Amino acid sequence: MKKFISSRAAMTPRRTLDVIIRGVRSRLYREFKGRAASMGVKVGEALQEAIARWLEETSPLPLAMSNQNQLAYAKMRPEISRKYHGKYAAVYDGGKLIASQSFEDLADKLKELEVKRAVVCHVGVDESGEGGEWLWGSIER
Amino acid sequence: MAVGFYRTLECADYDVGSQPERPAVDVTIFGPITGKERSFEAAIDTGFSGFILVPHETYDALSELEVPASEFLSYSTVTGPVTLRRARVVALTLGKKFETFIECPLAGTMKFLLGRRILREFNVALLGLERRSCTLEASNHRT
Repeated sequence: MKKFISSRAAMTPRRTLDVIIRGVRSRLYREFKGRAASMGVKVGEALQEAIARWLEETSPLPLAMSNQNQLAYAKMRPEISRKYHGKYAAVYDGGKLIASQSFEDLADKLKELEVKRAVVCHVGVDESGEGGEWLWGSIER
Repeated sequence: MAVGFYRTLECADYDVGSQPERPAVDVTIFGPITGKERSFEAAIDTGFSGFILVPHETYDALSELEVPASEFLSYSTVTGPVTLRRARVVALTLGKKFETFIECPLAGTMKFLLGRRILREFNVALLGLERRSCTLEASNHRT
């Protein structure tokens, strides 16, 4: 089935950019770098994970994050990113995980399992780009 | 100047319940797991850069496969950024069936809107004087 879900950069790895951050406390950074090294993780990867967790913790979406599948996905995301890159992964029943090569196959598997709701991610693939604008087309007299 | 020819595939009347009338199309959304479906008329909204905006009740019914909250998209509005929940669905509109997303804000009463991430995949003509919108197919003939 055709997908109308993407920008022209569809189905490509997530876009990245280089960032310079000034004024980081040296002790904090050394500890961070040392911890990352001891865990065998690159500093950039550890920093991205820290940023992602901070964004979730300060999320303006309390309703969404009160969803058990969303909470479970947030906890499992590092593992999902490592193990299922390029696949479709679904978290259901508050922490169960299933993955598949295609979206159709994943939906079939979830149907077999009689799952009604899940959080689904195409791991490591930027399908939608960034947001954009909403010029209030739905507002009228 | 090159002239292109287009063949009309399908037309839909404008929503005359709005004043002035607004272009709208019929949309059917299917839940990807259960196949549960909902049909509605969505306004063609070139000011919305997202996918298919739906009211809460429709979102709750069809959001069987929601994307992670970290992948919800934020849109700039006149009153500041608004983040929309987003769920994977199958949609049928303008003669095509495809995978896409429905979106819905956390609060507020919403209408059905077809945004530019969908519209970019179609040739749509707005025939204002006739109060109808038509999908077009490019003909091979060019002069």
